[in-house]
Amino acid sequence: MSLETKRLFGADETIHDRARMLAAESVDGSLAPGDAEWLDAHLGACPDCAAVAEEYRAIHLELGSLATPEPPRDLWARTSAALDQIDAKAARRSPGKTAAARQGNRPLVATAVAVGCVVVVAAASLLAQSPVITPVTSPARSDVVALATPSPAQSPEAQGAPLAVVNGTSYWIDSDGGVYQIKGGTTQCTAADGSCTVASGGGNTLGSIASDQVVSAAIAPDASRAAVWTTDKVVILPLASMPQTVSIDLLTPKPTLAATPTPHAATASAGASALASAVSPAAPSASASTGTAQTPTPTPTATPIPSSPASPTPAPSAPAATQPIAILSGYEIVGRDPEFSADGSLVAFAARPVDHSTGPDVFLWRSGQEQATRITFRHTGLFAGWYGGRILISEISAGSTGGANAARSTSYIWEPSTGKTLAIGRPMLLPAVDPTGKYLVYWSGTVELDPATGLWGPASGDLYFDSWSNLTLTPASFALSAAPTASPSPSPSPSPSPTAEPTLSPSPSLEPSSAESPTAAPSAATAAPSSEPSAAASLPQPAMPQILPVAAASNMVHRWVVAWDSAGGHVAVWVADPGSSRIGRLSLFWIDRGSGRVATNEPLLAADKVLANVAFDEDHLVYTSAIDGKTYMQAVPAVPPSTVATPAPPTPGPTPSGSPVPGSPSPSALPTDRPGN
Amino acid sequence: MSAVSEDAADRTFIEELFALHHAEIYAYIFRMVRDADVAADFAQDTFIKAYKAQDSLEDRAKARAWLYQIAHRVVLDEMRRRRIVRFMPWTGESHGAAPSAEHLAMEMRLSGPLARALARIPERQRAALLLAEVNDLSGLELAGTLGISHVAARALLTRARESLRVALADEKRLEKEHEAAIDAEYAERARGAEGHRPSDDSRPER
Repeated sequence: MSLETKRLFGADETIHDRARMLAAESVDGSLAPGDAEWLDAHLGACPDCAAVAEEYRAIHLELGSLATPEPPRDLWARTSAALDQIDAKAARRSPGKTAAARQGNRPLVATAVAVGCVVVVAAASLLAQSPVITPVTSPARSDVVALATPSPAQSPEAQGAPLAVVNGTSYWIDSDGGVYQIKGGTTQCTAADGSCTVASGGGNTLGSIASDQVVSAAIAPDASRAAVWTTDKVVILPLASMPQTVSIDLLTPKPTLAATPTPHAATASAGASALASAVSPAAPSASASTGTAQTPTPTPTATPIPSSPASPTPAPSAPAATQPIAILSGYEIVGRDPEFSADGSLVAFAARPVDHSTGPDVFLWRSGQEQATRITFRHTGLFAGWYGGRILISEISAGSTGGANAARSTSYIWEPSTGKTLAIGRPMLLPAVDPTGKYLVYWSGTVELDPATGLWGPASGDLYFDSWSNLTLTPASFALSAAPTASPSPSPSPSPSPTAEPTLSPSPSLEPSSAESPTAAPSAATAAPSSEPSAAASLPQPAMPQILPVAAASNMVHRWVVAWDSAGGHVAVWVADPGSSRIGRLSLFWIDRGSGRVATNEPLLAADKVLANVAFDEDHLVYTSAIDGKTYMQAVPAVPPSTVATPAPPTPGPTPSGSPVPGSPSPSALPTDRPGN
Repeated sequence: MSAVSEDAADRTFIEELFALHHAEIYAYIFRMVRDADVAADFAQDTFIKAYKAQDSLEDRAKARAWLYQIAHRVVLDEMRRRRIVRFMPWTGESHGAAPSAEHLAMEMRLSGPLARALARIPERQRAALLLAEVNDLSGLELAGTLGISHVAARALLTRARESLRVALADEKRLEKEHEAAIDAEYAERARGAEGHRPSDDSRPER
């Protein structure tokens, strides 16, 4: 190509670019006269640009004809009630001048901690590895301090959004114009009153990401790196001072992971190496797996697995730790957020293709690898959490007989280093295990397929507190098996009929039978217990599963959050209000580790209208009010009030033993006749 | 003005704003988050924040753009926050992410490919497109809502249109390939059926 030709080509390209830009702008008729004339002349001579312009116009017309969704009828009632509460609170604080008081509810810290973000990504991982925290002995009372109040007048881009408040250090994200910065600062707690303040202001920038999409992150326990994700990509980003900005939208996995999962036949004993190859295009694509992977070596059942760190083996060709790596592309996160293992060497999460052509599978990234590897293949996998160095995975699968009643939720423990899989011999969904590995909280009930999302989810059920010693663990082989019908499904459209969703068919050999798990109860899919099973009658050892009285009524738990303190002495449970996805009730319970039971009749805190972002940091429970937008760190008493030398006076009325939170979630809204009480 | 009457005026003003704009604010939020429950929560948040921040509204004639600005920030901030927070409740869906494109198309009377394409483009671009094309914000209102300059808003809108056009072309191509694959499958089945039942050449219903 001659220099002249290059010049012409370049000039020509610029003309077409200009034409297309003007064509895009012209759809709303906002071109200057000169530009409009130029564009008309160009389009008359350039069919390609004219075609593009026509596409712009067609899109403009279709967007303009969009239907207007109807707001819910109770929107004003809800909003008005919230405004009333704001007024009432302001009036209490500054009688006769509510507006001024209202304006006074401005951030206590300069960089407002965005609502509810004090809870965190790294917290659980850190909690899992933290030494046992000696509870504060002095504040038997509930010490709460408002950390911050977000202000709508303040640009959200300027607001710090803490990812973690852990061991005196907080991490958050600031964003500005599509650039997201992960920052770290200090958290200061004064021993005198147990109150804490999340650091704000500048902080140290540890990571910088540019993206046109909303960026989220989970911080590794040692804060050396973060798992960062958008709507279609997951990236591992090293954290360091003075970072360069990474354009996450431009990162691609090496090699690119195919969006269409390929079933692979493998035996569980092949373990991690088989997993690694399962998503590698270089590996021979295994043909038609029939899902008949063999079970691994039998493992004794009913034995709690002690928490132990994973021992990943970095690949020899580990990329430099200073470079960001796109570990998955073309997938969206489903269910829980990605989470690092306690030692920070692994990241697990569930994701599905952005075109929703299949259901979700669980992925695992190991330090040193360039890609996340798929560890489930039936498109029904959900990441439940870490259990020491092991991964808890849940599946909701349709029974072979079809029908929603045949669907069931099953959970597994998967060992990354060996590939061994143990099925938990009790139907449950998303078990959450306490840091000591002794107890767990899980959901059990009926499940249903949401045709809108194409995903299975809870229909009617409760949360149960249970002991591992009650459970039977059965070797299984789900992780490496592919669904028999996992061949490419041409239809991205989900069907409400379980029988019509081929990828949901379970492998029969993986169904824990009642014979294998004689202690198994409750039967989740169709016979969730409606009340606490014989709790007071016999108090068997080990403890039977207890229903946690966390919802307004039994069988009403659809969305929830479980958080444990590091010593396993307390469990906090957030349950969404009916009809809401982000506002709900928070309950805090003391665990009697002697009897292995939760003091359900004596919640240490019960607060309504709380956001879902709940976690422990040291000896504080961190949560955020949906009413005033403030984040609170409430000191958790070392022992339940009823057992201390000078017990708190019994609280009349609906508020359990926890002190009401000043100016926030209204504990008084709690009913007294909660199930289990 | 006394404190009491000042408060009453504040409250009255926010109620007027609600009456005038709640439907379009809800619609914008719904189109962004594609979840009716979440949209209702965010719309409520928008008016609560507006109530708390009335002092930041310097010109009440610009209240509509100011409300959109708050709604836009609520949406982006909450969507970001929902992804940031570690302890997400089980929702049976990816956070803040979408129902299927088909469901969205039904709700919004969009063609399937356009709904999918719209879901694929970056959120800021989608917001700009919806605000300008669907909610009819002027260029200045759009700039104010997005918190960027007028020029930057126009550039963002242009990028959004191009992103959507490219994504739509891709979606249409994929749909054609999908239909071709189905046709091929039926043709294959028909050939197989002819082998067994030569008289039966009917094509299965799609």
